[in-house]
Amino acid sequence: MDRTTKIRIEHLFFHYGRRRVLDDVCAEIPANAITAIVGPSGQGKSTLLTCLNRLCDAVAGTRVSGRVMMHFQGQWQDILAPDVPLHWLRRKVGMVFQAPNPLPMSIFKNVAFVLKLTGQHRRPDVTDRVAQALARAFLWDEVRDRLHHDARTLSGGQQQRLCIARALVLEPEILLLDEPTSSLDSQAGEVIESLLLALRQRCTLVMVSHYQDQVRRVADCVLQMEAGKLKLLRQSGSV
Amino acid sequence: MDGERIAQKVFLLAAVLSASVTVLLLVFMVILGLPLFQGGLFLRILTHPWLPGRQLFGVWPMIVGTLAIASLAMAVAFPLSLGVSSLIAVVAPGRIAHLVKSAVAFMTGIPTVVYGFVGVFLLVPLVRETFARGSGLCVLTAGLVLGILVAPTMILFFSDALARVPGSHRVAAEALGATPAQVLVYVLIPGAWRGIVTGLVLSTGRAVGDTLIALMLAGNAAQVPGGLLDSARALTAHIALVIASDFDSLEFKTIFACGILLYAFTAAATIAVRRLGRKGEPVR
Amino acid sequence: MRQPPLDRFVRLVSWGSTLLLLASVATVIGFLLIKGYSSLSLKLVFGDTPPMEALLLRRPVFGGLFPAMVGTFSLVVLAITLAVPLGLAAGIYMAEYGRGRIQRALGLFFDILAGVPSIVVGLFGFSVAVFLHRHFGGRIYPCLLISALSLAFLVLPYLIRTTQNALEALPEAVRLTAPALGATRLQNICFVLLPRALPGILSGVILAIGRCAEDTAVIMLTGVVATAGLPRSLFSSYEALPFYIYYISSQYRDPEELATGYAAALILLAICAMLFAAAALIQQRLGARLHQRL
Repeated sequence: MDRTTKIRIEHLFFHYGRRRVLDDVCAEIPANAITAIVGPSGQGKSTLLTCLNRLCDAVAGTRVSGRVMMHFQGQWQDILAPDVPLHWLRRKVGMVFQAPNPLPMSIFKNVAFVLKLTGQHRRPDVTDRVAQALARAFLWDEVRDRLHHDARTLSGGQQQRLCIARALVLEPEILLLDEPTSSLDSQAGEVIESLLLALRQRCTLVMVSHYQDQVRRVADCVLQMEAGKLKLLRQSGSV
Repeated sequence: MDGERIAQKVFLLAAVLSASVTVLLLVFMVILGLPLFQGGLFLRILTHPWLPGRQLFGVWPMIVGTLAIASLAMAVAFPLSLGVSSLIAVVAPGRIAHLVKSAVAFMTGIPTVVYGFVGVFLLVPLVRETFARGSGLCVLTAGLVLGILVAPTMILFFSDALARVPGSHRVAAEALGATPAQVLVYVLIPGAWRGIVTGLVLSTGRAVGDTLIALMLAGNAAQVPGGLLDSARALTAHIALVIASDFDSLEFKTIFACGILLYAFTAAATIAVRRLGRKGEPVR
Repeated sequence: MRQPPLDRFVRLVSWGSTLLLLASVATVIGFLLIKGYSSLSLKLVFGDTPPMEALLLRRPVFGGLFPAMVGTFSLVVLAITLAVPLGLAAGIYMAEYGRGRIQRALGLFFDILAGVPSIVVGLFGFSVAVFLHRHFGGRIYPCLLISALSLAFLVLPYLIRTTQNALEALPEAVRLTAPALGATRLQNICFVLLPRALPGILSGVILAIGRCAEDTAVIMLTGVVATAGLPRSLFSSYEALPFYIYYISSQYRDPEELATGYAAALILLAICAMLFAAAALIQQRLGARLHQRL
């Protein structure tokens, strides 16, 4: 079991002020698979996602307890431990948000930005890796001629794929997706879905989704969140 | 005419009356300083030295003095303000940031004359003894105190500008593994540069326009300062010092040249900042 | 894992500058407290005159801060009385009536006025006094009224902008309730909008009071003197606390007089701190109320 499990959540509690958002959440998330978290809105699905890359730390008045173990380089590590460097964690665990959030710069720079953060400045390398990431996000052909245009001139679906490309450029082992298609039309959504299926080969995907049929199409494992509790709904045989 | 229309007229009148003060300010200075504008006298006053013994009443030394004191003040205040607003924005957000911000807001309320007074009796002797030269009343002393004086306003400007950068940009960078400093340097400061420049320009206006610090701490010698430890006289201080002289003398008229110069400088700064702000509005 | 170098640098610089700034303020306040606290006394304020006699203006005070405090007080009251109605009305115009180009042009004038150095405003007040002196029989000199008028001009743009901002910050729902019930525009402003915007306006007024109380450059040119006793009328010269502090710093004759300077600085600082605290309190209550509404 351990060999194929990527994330093990153990008795995770999350409080916002006095409100208990996550209530004793336990789960195992399989490696190289798409795990969908479903459930009514406002039940803590997005919160759970932000606990996996500790983006929740930035919000004042929150309290987290429990353990979130992740399997990196052959060993388990509790990413909630206070000595885990956040920027290191977030380079391992990428995230894509509900609304595309390109930074106010060119398409190229949006992706190259991540390389800049890790101190990689050598121009030919950067250009290559940006192109690769865009290709992996099925975006290269659409933007190759206008790499230096402002990213906000792209369509919604393209922006979202840009954000995925940006998250992929550092080859994260885990990719978190918070309703990645909900702000897009169905056609753009389909492109993203096939992109996710392709990504499964190389990383572990955890996705919050509202769409039943989308979950049926792409998810290998479905977890349901209700009133802060998480339970396993379905796990396909391949995992 | 009914009450509604009268009220509207009254409000309009109040606004126009208030705005006319801005114009009257300039008009009065120009009229009372009128002889200055004949035969290139104004230009000569701006460029000549101040040598009353030789009947030379130029304010060039005061222009240099103002620039020296204000530049030093900005050189002190700018890095200080950037540092403090970075602390508020990324380094120690939450309770510490809130406390620091309250302290900074309080500092904007400390009377200028109090800074000047403490400067006279604390910093002046210190500078005099440290450098063992002159009286301690010099560009350095005035610039340091003025820097501390304008920093709080600048910090409030900067941290407002940094806080106005959309949260989504910040979260995007954080989720990509940016460290707090990287968020600051690569996302917040580029996103807030207009606000930062605005704060810088308006604070420069304040430093140039401040009277008391220069008057109390710079020594007021009407000569071009040769170094940081030299005494200097600011344009503002010049007005305060010469106001008591004979009204019809040329010496007295120079204060209107100083006034017009200060007015022109701060008005230009205000207009520049408004231009910048308008360009900054999102184009949609 | 060690922090990346950029982060260590930013942390160092930001903590360094914060501590430096806070230390310098602490030095200013601490220095005044140490030097001035011991001379704080009733005698400092009232000299040898019995306090009650002085407060009831029965007997003059010599060698105390009382005349300067009364001078500053009258100055502030006068300046605020002159500035608030005008600033409020102009602010209402900017928020509720002004549109398009006229509003923008007026805004530009207010912004310029807000940036004009106070010594230039003082010079304007002085020029007005000279003008009146020449054209109206030579009885007008720089005096309390001229100073108050100049100070009013100094804080006017500030009052206009706070009024405007406080009104414009009101939510659309509040703005539309009364008109939907048949209220006229003026009724809406007087009975709904102004009361709701009052905390914002009030804290602006308090900060304006602080500026009037602490300003020295304006009054220096418009009638303040070192010794005048209590102000006798609007047209007389007067003493003021900030000018007294300035004057002492260069003209003190003995250590005792210098000690009164420290004490005066401490008193002025305390007054400004109290005004600041009052404004902050009002703003905080306002913030709490806005929070409830959400």
